[in-house]
This record gives sequence, structure tokens and C-alpha cells, in this order.
Amino acid sequence: MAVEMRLPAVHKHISLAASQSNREDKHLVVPGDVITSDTGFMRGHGTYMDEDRLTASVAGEVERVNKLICVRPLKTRYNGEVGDVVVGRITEVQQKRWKVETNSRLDSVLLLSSVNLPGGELRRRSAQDELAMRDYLQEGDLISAEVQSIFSDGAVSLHTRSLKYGKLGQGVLVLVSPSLVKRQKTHFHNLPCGASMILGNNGYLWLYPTPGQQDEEAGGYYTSMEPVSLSDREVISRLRNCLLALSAHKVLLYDTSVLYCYEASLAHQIKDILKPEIMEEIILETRQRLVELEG
Amino acid sequence: MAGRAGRRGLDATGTVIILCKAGVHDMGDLHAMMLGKPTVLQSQFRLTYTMILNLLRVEALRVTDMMRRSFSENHRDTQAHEKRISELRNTLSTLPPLDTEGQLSDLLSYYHTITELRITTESLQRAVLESVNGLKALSVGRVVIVNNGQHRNALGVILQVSNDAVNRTFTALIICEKGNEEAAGDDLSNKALHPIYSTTLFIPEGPCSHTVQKLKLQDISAITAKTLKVIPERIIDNYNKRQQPRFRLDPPGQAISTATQELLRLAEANPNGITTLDPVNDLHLKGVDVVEGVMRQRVLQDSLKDFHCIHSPTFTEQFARVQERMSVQEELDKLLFLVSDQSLTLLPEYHQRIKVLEALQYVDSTGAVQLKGRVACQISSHELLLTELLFENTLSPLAPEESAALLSCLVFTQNTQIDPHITNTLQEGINQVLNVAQRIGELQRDCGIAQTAEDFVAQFKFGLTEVVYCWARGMPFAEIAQLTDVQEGTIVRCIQRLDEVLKEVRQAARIVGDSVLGSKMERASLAIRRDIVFTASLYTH
Repeated sequence: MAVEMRLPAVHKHISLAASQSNREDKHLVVPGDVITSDTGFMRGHGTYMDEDRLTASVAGEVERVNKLICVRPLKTRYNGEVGDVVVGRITEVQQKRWKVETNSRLDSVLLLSSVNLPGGELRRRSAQDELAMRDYLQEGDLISAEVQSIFSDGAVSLHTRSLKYGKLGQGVLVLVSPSLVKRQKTHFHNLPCGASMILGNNGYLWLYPTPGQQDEEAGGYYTSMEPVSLSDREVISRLRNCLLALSAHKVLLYDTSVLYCYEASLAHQIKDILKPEIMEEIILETRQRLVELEG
Repeated sequence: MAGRAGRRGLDATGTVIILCKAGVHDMGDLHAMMLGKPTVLQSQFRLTYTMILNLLRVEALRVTDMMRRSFSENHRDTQAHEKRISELRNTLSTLPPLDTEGQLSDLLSYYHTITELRITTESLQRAVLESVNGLKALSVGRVVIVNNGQHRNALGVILQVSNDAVNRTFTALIICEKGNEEAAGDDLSNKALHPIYSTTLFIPEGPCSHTVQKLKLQDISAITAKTLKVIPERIIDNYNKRQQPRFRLDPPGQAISTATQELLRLAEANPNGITTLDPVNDLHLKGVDVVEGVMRQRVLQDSLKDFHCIHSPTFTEQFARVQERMSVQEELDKLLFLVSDQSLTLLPEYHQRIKVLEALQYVDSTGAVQLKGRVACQISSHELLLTELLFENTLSPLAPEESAALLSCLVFTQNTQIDPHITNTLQEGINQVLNVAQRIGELQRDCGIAQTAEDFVAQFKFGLTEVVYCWARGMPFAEIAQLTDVQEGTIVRCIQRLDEVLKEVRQAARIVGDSVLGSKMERASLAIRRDIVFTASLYTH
């Protein structure tokens, strides 16, 4: 069996001539860069005052909203916002809550009162429910949830009080930086190529085969253990490699960009997508199509 | 009285218990309590920016769902509508399919043209009748063309015009076939469209007979240019006499026969259509709607000749099927509209508010909430003004006491006679607040919200600025009560509400990431939270 081996090489910088113009507008800074000496501005996240001068404390892009200046870092932990959809992994089962790992500075919390009871009843959680917690979610389970609120220290409180959130069944998890996931109206996408995708705002992306018919009562409790067909698995593998390619080239992830990348990659074999030169080709084509879409 | 109200939509009744501790009340009181008129329930549901932003943040909920559940939408009988919709859908699926091959390919467009023609004609007729000239034209003796379920392009002459302006009826003598004198009792056939539009006048094949009937406006399809000399009373009396069984076999009177003969002669002289009065040229109706209606009518009539489907042998049968199907479809569409989101009463206001939010960049064009929107979610009242003030950095040059005094305009809603003494920095702050309020007010007006910019700016009253400033700097309550004519209770309540506002601003500062503002707000909070204003109440514990 032939195995391909490569030595590390210098990463070629690819850019499109068309997007050069809006590249100039972005004000990129590194920690220690002075953003402005004007005192009329409010300082936001990622900045600090160094003797009257507004200085950046993280590496990223400067954002200005009226008189507020903040720096949005490229590589960061997930900062929770109310209403975000996240994918997380259970790390602990505590007395009335689960601790969920969501790529943030502190572990997120999923309270027992924030999950739906089987059967959809509405009542106070009793001691019986506490003892049955482990039957529902154990350490190592993956869940999709929504951010309900943020504690004062920045820890995020989750809830799965809807039929579309809950324990995740068979699929593939892809980890990217949280700043690459675009904030949209909905983060659950059924792609036309035959798979479904959850783009978690915390950088955890979940790919899974599109469920057959929607089961009304099952909700977050039913995880199908039926074998997934080969064609579905191929689609999901290709999507996973596309997502890794997109995140390596720092392309913003949303349903359209993922779909374009998938279509561009159809010309190659699934395992070739991860090779650097083929990755560049695919990303170039995707970027061109995205620029055409906007323009 | 105490009790449990019934749940809206679920219970038919509630329970009320009248507690009679000192004996039962007298009859008059009991009567009023049990059978008196209750207060009319009115929905107090208001669309606020905070609510819209909070709902936009969450994927699962939509603002229209929230609006649908409010009491103001209670008049929509959604359950009954849903049942009728499913009934109609069943009917639609059981109807026979349409044959649209060959010559019948333009059957549907023909149906639509005919319907539009009918609607245009009806609106023109209504316009004609409402005009003075039209009424003059429809006087006794005028020859008209009658078109309803019973008569088809038959000529008639007007005998009497009723005085009722709302439902005007015209008694007319109409020529018809022998045996067709009685009006069809079935109203449905009147409503059915005649498939083929033609102007050929009706000429009886057999011996000509006549009938005197009361016609409605819809039955008169055109007013001709001709008038006949008739004696209406004699004709009507004669006809009514012959309706009685005793005189049924009598020959018709002379007046009637001459009138009938005249009509028949007119019909035979103009078999293909008789000249009618044109609303624009003859009746001098110059309204834009009328002129456009007449032109459209002419265009439609001309286009009718180009359709192939009328030559098909199965035309009438297919047309009837189309009509049946279309009427069911129309009712279904109407009900679907009523049940859908488009018929919510608050929907236009919702769209206006979304426009304001987009213009101020609280949400982007796809509906995702931006940083400014997330800050505005934390604020419960005057969210737009406070968020704009925060992002314009108006509070940073002010000391904590001054910022507390400035923010008092958001909680104080009364007018004062005494003008407060204000320092220069505070005055600048006040001017900035008024500028921002003016800008927001104008933007709201531009987007269509029914509140003038002046009203919006007038909401913010600065009567308590001096009071709060002095209180925050440590002046005793007795002295600050002297500074203004506002009652002490109002001052206490306003300062308590001001504390809430400061807490919200602190929360907003945390979201934005400005710790300087946050600590300033905390110091301001500490400065005002002291002494009698924040003493725990004697009544609540």
C-alpha cells in the first residue's frame, strides 16, 4: 500500500485581486499596537488605555461602533452570547446540573431544570429526576443546546428546551476557531448534498445524516443506532474535509460557503482534499464564487 | 369578591366567590355584583423594541408567533377557519380534473378575463348609478339591457325607480319567452357567469311574452340610448291584475302590448347589439377610475375574441368545472390569508419597528442581532435613547453624580414649574440627550411610526436633574425637597427607579467591555443609595 509523506513547506498566501480593496479597509492590529490617541472614544473588549493612548491587547481586527472601539481577536476561546447555538460535550454529572465543555474559558452549565423531561411534561424536578440524570446524559455525550444566560463571571448556562436540541447521535465533529463561524438566523442546515450540519457558535461543527421523517415525541431523547449508508458516509467525510480546508484558509463558515466548497471539491477524491495544493485550488474557486455572489 | 378566571380559549366559565362576613348584602348590591356590566377587556399588548430584539436573538421563537397569541388577535376564529380549510381542501381534491388539451388550453386565462370583465363592469355600473347623470338616464321609459340568471341580453323598459338610495330597485318590463315569466327562485344561477360574452340581443323564438319584474343594479348590464313612451301605472296594474288566478287567461292590456311590440321591434332591428350610453362621453363622468375602467373594459372585450377555447365542443361543461374549482380555490385562499401571519393587526407596526432597528444598525439586513442590539436587550425602558447615549460616549466626561442626574430624565415623567439650576457640563449633557432624541424621533417618523419627533423628545423631562445631583452629592433629603415643587413621594420613587436604570447601564457596560463606565455607574449607585430614599418599606416584608 503506497503511503504519501511530505515535509512541511512554506504556506503560500493566496488572495484574490478583487478582494484587495476591502482588505485595505480592515484595520488589523497585534498586541501593543496603538489604535488611536483620540480620547473621545470608549474602549471595548480587547483594548486597554496606555497613558492616554488606546492600545490593542489581542491580535485581530478593529471594530468601531459609533464611539466604541473594540478588537475582535482571530484566535480566541468562545465568548457566550444569549441565543447562540452551541455543540458541547458532557464532562461531569453533578447534583442538579451537567458540566459541558464548549471551548470557552469556563465550563458551561446545563441545569436539570433546563432540559425537557421525557414525554414533555412540565413539573418540578424531583429527587427521582436527579437520580435519573445519568440515564439521559453521561460523561462523553455530545449535545446541541442554546445559551440561555451568562453568569457574572462569564460562564454560560445552556438549555435544550426545544425539540431540535438534545443529545446527538451518529455523526462527525469538526473543531474550528469560534471566530470563523458566521452569526446567522439559523445554525441548523439541511444541505442539498444529502447531509445535515449544525454550525455551533463555539467552533464545534456537527455533521450528521439527514434524519428520515421527523419524529414528533422523540425529540432529544431518540438517537438512532441504525447503520448509516455508504453514500451518506461519503458525503459526510467529504464535508468534513471541506470544513477543515475552509478553516485552514480562514474562510468564514456559513451554509453557502460550505456548499460552494463541497461543489468545488467534487472534482477530487475525498482524501485528496487535505493535500495543501488541492486545498488551495478548491478554496480559490470557493472564494471566487462567494465574491461573485456578493457583487 | 375573589375567584379564578377562566383560561382564555380553554375554559368556558370562571368562578367568583363573594365573601359575606357581616351578613348577606342587600338585593340591589348583589344584583350589581352578579349581573352588572363588567369592564371591557382591551389588549394592552405593545410592541417594544426590547421585546423584538430579545425574540430575534432566539432561533426558536418568532415575533409573529408572539403577536398571534396576544389578546388583540382573539377575534380571529382560527379553529373554525382551520376546519373550513381542511373541508375545502377535501372538496378540491374530489373535484374532477380539468381538461386543458388542444383548444381548451387557454380556458383558465379565459376564465380570469371573464371574471375581471365582470368586476370592471360592476364597478363601472356602480359609479354610473352614483352619479347624477346616471340616475337621470335611468328614468322611466329608458330602454335597458337585462342580464341575469333568467334573462340573457333581453331588452327591458324602466317603469318605476325606487326611492331607496341604498338598494335601488327598478321595476321594468322585459321581453321573454312564453313560459319563462317567473323569476328563477334559485339565486345561484344568477351568480353563475355566462361563459360566452356576447352582445347579441335576445329575440324570442316562439311567441313573444313579457314580464314585469323588480331588477337590481347588477341585473342591468347596459343603458341604451333609446327611450320609449310608456304609461307605467297602467302597465303595472294590468300585470298585477293578470297575476291573480281569476284573470290569468285575460289578454294583456293595450299599454303592455304596445310596449312589448316596441321592444321586440327594437331587438329585431339591432340583433347584434344596440348602442349603449358611454359613461365618459354620454354621461360625462370624468373621474379617473371611470375612464380607466371604461378603457380596461374595452380592452378585455376585444381580447375575448382571440380565445380558442370557446370554439371547443365541450366548452360549457369545462367552463362549469373551472368555475366550481375556482370558487372553492378563492374561498380557500381567502381563509388561508386570514389564518396566516399577513392578517395580524400589529404586523405593519412590526415592520416599521424592524426598519428603525435596521437603520440604527441594531440588527443587520438578515435579522441577526448586532452588538448595539444586544446592549439594547438589557434595557427595559427608553432602550433606543439609552443605547445611543452609551455608544455616543455621552456619559464619559461626566462625574458619577452628574451622570446620575442626567439619566434622571428617563424616569421622571411630570412637568415642573421651577426650572432647576444646572451646571455647564450637565447642560451640555442635556443638549446632547435632546439631540439624540431628536434624531431618533425623526428616524421613527421617517419609517412610518405614528409619533412625531416633538412628542418623542418631549417624553424626556429634566425637572429632577438638580435634585438628583444634590442628592448624589450628599445633601439631606429635607433640603432637596425645598429645591423643587415636585412631591416628596415622586422624588423617592424616581430615585429608586434611577437605581434600576444605573444597574442596567452597568450590565450594558459589561457587555460592551468598558470597565470605566461600569465602575462609574457603580459609584453613582452607591452615591444615591442611602438614607430615607432606600429605607425598607414598613408595609412590605
